[in-house]
Amino acid sequence: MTEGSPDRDLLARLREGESMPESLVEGVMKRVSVAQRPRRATALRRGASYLLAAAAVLIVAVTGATMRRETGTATVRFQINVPSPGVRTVTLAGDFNGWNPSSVPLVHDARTGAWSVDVNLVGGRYAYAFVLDGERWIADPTAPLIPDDGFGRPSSIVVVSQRGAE
Amino acid sequence: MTDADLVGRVLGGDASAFTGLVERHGDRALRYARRMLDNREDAEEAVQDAFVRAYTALGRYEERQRFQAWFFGILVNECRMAARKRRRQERWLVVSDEATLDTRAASVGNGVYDGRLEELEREIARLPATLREAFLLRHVEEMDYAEMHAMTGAGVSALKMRVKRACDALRIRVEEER
Repeated sequence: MTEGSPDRDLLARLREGESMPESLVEGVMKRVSVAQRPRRATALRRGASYLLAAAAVLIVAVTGATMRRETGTATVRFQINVPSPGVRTVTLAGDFNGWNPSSVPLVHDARTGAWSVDVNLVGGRYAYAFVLDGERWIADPTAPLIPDDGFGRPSSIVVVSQRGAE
Repeated sequence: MTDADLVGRVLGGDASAFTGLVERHGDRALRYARRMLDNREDAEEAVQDAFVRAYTALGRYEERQRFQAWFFGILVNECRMAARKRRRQERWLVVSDEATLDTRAASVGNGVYDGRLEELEREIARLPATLREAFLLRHVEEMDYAEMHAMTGAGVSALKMRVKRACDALRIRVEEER
């Protein structure tokens, strides 16, 4: 909103009247005290993480989200063939990365035309979507759809179990 | 001490410095989550989860970003996940009695209660999730459209349309940037 908006005062009042209780601050800090300590991201560490992830890949899928079970976790390959030739980037967003559209890029295989990435997931049910060029959200055409996520974007479901992706 | 200073201290091994970030951004986070989830208990849980997720991901925060915008990106998704989870569980109502009571109590406590504000809170709670999300981020949390794009995944023109539709539905008159 800009200065001079007729309802500026009314909107300002919507910003009042909420305070975070001390118990909630304490609850956060209690969980933080046992959480994994954050580490500064460096190019070297990002490279090492990528190599470790690549080494953990045990299976190559044909299309869509498929997985390989290891003890308690699974490496899931997310793959999509994008019909639009002008697409420059494809990323993966879902419950597993806080729906961040920039943290998991897919790699393009010029030979097959497919984009893919392998992600380590613990057992559970995850909604996800592909993001083309950082703007266009599309569901996985080979996976079950969520009818409506309430936020105007399509998404798919992958279930990681002890038996495999469903 | 700036947010970036606090982040630097946490990354340097002083986890207690994270308290400063929680105290500084908690009120806004709770305000947003309560309006998105229509329920104080769910909102507190979402805020707590968002802060813990932010803590573990703090190494990926870049100083050129506003910490608040970076953190809200996480919070927006926590609220979406909470809403989706609850929708699966109970097909929740658009407006709950609890949301109305929460609103009134908060407003009375600050001496700003009147009929128009209470009515506006009820109308915000009735907005479809996409419109409510865009309106709150733009006109209550005062994010710019580039920040909103980064945190929601929606295009800027789509976001502007959602904000306009929300303002029309709420009969709020604002002068937007071009």
